[in-house]
Amino acid sequence: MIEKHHLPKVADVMTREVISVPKNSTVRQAKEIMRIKSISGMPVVDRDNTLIGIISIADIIKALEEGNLDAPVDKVMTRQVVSLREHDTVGQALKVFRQYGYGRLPVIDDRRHVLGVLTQSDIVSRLVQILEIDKVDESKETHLSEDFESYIFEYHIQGMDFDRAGEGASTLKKILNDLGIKGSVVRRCAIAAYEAEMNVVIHAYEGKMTARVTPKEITITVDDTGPGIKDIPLALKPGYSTAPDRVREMGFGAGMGLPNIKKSADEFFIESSPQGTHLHIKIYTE
Amino acid sequence: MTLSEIRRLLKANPLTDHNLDERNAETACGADLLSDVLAFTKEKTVLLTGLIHPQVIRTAEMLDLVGVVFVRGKEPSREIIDLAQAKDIPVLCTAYPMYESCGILYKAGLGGAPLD
Repeated sequence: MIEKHHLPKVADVMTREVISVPKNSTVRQAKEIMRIKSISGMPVVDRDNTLIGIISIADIIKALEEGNLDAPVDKVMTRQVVSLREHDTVGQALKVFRQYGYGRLPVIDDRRHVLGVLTQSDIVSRLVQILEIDKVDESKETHLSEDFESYIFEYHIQGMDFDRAGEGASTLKKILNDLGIKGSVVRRCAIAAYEAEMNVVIHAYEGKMTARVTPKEITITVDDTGPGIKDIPLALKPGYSTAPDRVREMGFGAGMGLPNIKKSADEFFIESSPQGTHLHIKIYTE
Repeated sequence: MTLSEIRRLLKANPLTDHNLDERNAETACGADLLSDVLAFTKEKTVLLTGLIHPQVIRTAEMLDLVGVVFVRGKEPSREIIDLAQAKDIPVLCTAYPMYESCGILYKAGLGGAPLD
């Protein structure tokens, strides 16, 4: 909690979980991330998370008009970026928002590494917290339990993107928690989704994870375009792996992915061809 | 056993900003294979690992692990520490190797998880 006499700084209100896009991603991929995450812009970063630009919906529309959807984002992004520093006050940040009219601003350090992103709604929600305007119990507020009928979550997975690997499963886990799904069920879903996401990152070119959540069950499907699994019974055998050394060095590729998914699921179905793999699992909430 | 007790026993250095007194582990898991951690780890577990990679934090997040201790004095990158902070996973670093780290905690009363 920030003390009343202390002027809130950008560091106090910014979002630290930054959704950014590597400069060599395509505009199409950036568009997908923005669609799935419902955001209107993202920092474009190079390998060491250094800010090199911003891609916005306006940039994407322009690329669409020019038939440039498969170009790398650094060809169409806005290079002249207005950014904030952690020690800027919220008042200074608001002034920048007013002056430039942008929806979101990246927060960077001296070496231009992206530390966070700030939107005006981040400021509002943090100020609400500081001023204790709403004293609603957050756990009650987010506990929707049986009030929802179904919820669909879609996530694009990029092959070989090890920095982002796991973000889809992480987002799904948060959604399930917010929907009030039981902890042990969330855990099984998270494990299955994470292993499935890692499989796409490790073995496929790209893929899509879809989760359909109802109060009774969670259905997760993962479709990828990739070389496919040659021998599914063998791949389901604990310890069997075709993962490259780089993956093994990260603690994966031990041949436990598919067996783990199967173990976490109540229903499990997988089919594969040289065009790609389709995984379909169900986890019951009771 | 609280993470602050683990910190004391392993002479560990906390790398994230968390109140370690409030984090309680009922068991521990020593592993360098994340798939094994994902397959066999129970709740309220602290993970000891020699693996330095952001996926360690992702795994900890998926499993709601109590915390992560990097053994053999390996220092994770800023990126890993930032991710751990963002995902609310306390991270510590100890100079003890894996075997000693596990032995010290086991001897102090932090047992393994019951077998299925």
